[in-house]
Amino acid sequence: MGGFAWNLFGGWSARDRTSRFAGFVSVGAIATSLACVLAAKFLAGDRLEHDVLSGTYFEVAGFEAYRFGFGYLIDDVTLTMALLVAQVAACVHVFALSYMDDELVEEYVDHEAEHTPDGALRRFGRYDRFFAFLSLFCFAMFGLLLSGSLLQTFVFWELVGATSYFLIGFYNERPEARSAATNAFVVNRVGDAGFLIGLAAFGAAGVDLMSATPEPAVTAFASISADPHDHAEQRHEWQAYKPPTLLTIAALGVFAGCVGKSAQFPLQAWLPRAMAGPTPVSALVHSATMVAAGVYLMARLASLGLLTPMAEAVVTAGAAATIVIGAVCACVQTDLKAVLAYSTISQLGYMLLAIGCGDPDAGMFHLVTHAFFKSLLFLGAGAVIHACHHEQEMTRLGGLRLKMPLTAGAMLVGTLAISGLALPTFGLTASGWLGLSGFYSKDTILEAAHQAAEVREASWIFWVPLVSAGVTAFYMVRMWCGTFLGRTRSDDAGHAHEADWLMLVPLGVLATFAVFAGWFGPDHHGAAEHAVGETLDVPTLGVIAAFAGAGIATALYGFGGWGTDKVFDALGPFRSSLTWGLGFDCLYRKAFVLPGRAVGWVLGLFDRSVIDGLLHRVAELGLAVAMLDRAIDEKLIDGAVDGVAASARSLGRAAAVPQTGRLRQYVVFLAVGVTGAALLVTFWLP
Amino acid sequence: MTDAALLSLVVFLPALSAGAIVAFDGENRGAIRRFANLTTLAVVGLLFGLVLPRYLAQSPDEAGYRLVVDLPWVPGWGIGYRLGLDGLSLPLLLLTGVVSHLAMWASAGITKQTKGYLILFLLLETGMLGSFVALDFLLFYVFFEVMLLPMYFLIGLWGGPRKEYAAIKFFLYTLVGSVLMLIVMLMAYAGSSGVAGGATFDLPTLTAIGSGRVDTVEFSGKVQCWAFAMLLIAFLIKLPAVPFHTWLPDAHVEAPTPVSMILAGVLLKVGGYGLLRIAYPLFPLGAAYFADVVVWLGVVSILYGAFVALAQTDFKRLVAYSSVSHMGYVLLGIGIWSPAAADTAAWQMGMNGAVFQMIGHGITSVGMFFLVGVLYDRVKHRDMREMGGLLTVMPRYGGLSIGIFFAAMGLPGLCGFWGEVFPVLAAWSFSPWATVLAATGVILTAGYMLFAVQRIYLGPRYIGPRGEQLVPMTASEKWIAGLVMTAAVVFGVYPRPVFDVAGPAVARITADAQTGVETAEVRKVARAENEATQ
Repeated sequence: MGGFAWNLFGGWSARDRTSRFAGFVSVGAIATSLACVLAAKFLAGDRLEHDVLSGTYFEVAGFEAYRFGFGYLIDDVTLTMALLVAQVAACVHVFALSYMDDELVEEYVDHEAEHTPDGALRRFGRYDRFFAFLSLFCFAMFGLLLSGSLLQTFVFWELVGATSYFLIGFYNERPEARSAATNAFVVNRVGDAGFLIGLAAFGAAGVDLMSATPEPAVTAFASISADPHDHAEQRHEWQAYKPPTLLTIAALGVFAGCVGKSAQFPLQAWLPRAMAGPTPVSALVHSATMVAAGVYLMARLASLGLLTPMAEAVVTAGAAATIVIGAVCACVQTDLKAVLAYSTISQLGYMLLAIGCGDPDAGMFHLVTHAFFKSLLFLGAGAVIHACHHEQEMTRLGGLRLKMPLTAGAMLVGTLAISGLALPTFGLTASGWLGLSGFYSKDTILEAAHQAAEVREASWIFWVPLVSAGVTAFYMVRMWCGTFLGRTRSDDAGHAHEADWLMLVPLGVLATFAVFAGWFGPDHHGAAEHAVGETLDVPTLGVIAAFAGAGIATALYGFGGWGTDKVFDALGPFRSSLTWGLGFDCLYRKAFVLPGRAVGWVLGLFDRSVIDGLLHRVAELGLAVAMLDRAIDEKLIDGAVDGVAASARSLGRAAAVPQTGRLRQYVVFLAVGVTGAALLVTFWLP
Repeated sequence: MTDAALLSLVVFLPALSAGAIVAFDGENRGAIRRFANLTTLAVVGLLFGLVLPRYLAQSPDEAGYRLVVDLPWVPGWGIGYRLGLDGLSLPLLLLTGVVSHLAMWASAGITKQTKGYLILFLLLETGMLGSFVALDFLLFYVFFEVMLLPMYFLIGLWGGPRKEYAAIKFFLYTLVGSVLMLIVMLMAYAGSSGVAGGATFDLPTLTAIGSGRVDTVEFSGKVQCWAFAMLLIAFLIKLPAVPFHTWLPDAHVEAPTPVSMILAGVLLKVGGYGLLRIAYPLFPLGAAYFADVVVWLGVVSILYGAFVALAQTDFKRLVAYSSVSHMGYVLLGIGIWSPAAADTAAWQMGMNGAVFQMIGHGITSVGMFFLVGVLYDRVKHRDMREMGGLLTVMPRYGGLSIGIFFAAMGLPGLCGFWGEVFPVLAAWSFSPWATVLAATGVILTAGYMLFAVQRIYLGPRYIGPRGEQLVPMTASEKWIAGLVMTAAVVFGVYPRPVFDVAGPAVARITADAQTGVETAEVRKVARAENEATQ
């Protein structure tokens, strides 16, 4: 079995790397990956539910007790995630075949780049480069999922960040794209630094997360138990003999990494800017997979029982703040992709909230459903943008339901799914509700939050996500109405046409998943009701919130068109602040980047004036001493010597007597002298 | 060929060629250059073709060395012609050979007094190779000095506008280090007089004394502290670490490209090597006493270098300060020793990381200085504010540059990663704050590297002067950068070779140092008891 998996995944990762030149190679690679994962799922899926596959490719280094290996670890969570990534990636790859076709030219004219003196920028098309990076990303992402140790996870963690950098900066001639790429990478690095600290702390706490030895007992990463009831026990075990402070620091360090990668408060600002990349990238990297990696990792840590209560509290608070910030900012965006970006931030917050509330399974569930409907939404947005000549401002869209009915339908599915709308079935289904995938996953999270709110006696843990669920429905319905209803508000939108089948097929596939993915989630209702009793009907509240949000949005935008968006103008300057993500970017620039550069400048000055200045003073001093010495030499000593010279001359005449001028005599003197010196040396020195 | 002949040939072949070049006609540049090129290539061939297989085939002697040569030189004074290799010197020796050849290859642009340049270059190579194989303190010192003078002339004669200033600064700084080393050398010599066979400059013997394995002799704690402090300054200047680093930016900015490559790729490593070969084994008590100083200077160097790099506008100065920052990880990795904890596993991890960082930085810094040179050859300026768009103008150059930049940034899968991550992880056991601060350095590194990439390579077009000169890389330029990039990837994906070779040597150094401290403690107690009984 181990050998099977080894070959399978080894071949798989190699395939992804080799695709460099054209889109179909890339699609072929991802299709192979998908086939491999599906095969693994069907052949080994049952076994993996209770077992893990792990092994080591090679050991990187070993220093006595510390051993670092490169290996793999596959269990059912890995498999689910891999399946998800492969599916979404395959859809996005196919979509991109068509979406990126304007790059298939010898000379690409980029109107959005800075203009050169000769007009719009012209460059060669970069279709191949795009797919190369996309495939590289998939390789890194799969590597992240399959990695057998925390250090290896960190390796691929940074690699996905780097590929994300290249993909965001794909249009590097555009100023916002290149600064967004740099920004994203640096912010990710901030999180990574935290991750590194967390790794060191875990190492110090004796949690052997770095090895990839096959024995599950040794590798904490491998000791994930399939039974959720074991988690609590495991947690007590860990905390019984590990210093909790250290564990908290370690967990929070890794959490910092997740905050960076999953765009959580306070490092969320890079994600909206990352939308400067091509839209398929936004769909794959910046909504479904890479940003979810943080959630995945936290879920892993949480199910290992490595999150102390303190760490959980911090995660919960951070997630709640993220949910609110994301949701509120999404409400006022006019850029199609920006709405989706803030919505992603907010939804990632939901996932981490679930983890903070001690229910990582709910977080993972939402991760899966979110991946489907969010990539659906992004690809739908991509189809719109492609059809409307790269117009993505909702103020200049509208009325597209007639031009692109299929896209509109698919987007509607996505919108309904993310909003968490559901209809009561009055007992016909197990949960009593029938909804799209988002309803089920969000409901599980709300249940978890409710439970945590009761236990920790902090009701905001429940109310914040509940109200935000309503806000979610509001901004999503607003976005859909703004894009597809009303009248067309620009020529570009007027000339739009339905997307071609290469785009529609992925949309259809993802829409199907967005509908059904939620029906196979974990069933938590029994446990939740048992624990909490009948005090609150959580699903009903969730649906009410969603309907309220959606209703308000429909009332505002469904009939009157975009004109009603003026309500937000009442916010005055606060609106633009919200549009720019509450100014976190600007704040960080002022608080860290500029001071950092200033410190660098000051230190550079310190080098030049203080250290070098000191050296120069020393050098001058040396020179002065030398001058003085020379003066003493010339005046004093020479003077004295001159005086002495006269008497010496007379002495010299006397000494000149042995200087016979005969060579033989000189040689004798020399020989005697040397021998004497040699004898001296021999006797006196060891 | 005996080991003695082989190692001597490797070390002195460049010097012999330098002698032969004197006989060449100075006008016939092509011939001289081919000859010099062949020499460095022959050294690489000897290293990989003969030295490496022989090293792997032999088993280490009791002091851990292979290919040991021990011939009398000045026997009355305990000076020997002692050469040998262990896991510490072998990687650096190979690095030296390769870097020298690449730099020689990159010297094609030197047209001024080519003959003199090449003679000095080859003498410098002998000095570097000799430093890494010498097992005699005096011999090491001699080679150390042999490196100094050619370097002085290479910067001072073939450098940029402020070459005289940079050269004299480099010279004086290093000379201070040399003098301190000379004093320590005499101290060690004098202190070893009680050993069987009389006072000696033999490093394995001195190491045995330092680690307390010789019953008759010991270096007292006070002597060790003084000696270690002086050696520390000597090697910190070479490394360089804050606050002894200000010669580096000037030297780099003024030095011609190949000399910069050598300087960053090899010469800086002599500092780290010296600490590991001489300072720690000979004077472990001093090392224990100054452990805090070493670690915190390392951390300060990491942050200081990165901060200053962040504020640079000159491309080459930025790379130079990034060297200061990167060599800080070496210092950090070497320094994290807590003698109180008998377990040296963390220290070994850090020290292995430091050795790897020396190799990794050798690769990336050579690449980066070369890339700076490629650009400078074309547009004759290095102001990052007047660049941009090179990825579009010179796609291959841009791609390789970004790759090498990312390797230097410590991206996993490339060679900069392991040398950064192991010292940082291991530092936790010494002080969590060291880890925290060093990890912060990772952010700053990303900051200045990406900022540079953004300003130089990205963007719609090149905005500086002489844009028309931006021709694609020549074949040999592509080869050099390509080789560096390949090495970066190979060692990034599979760092094992370095760890496998260096691991045992590091284990020995750490164990010796630990024994040294413990033995000193035992002896102190014994002395105290003796006095009490009397």
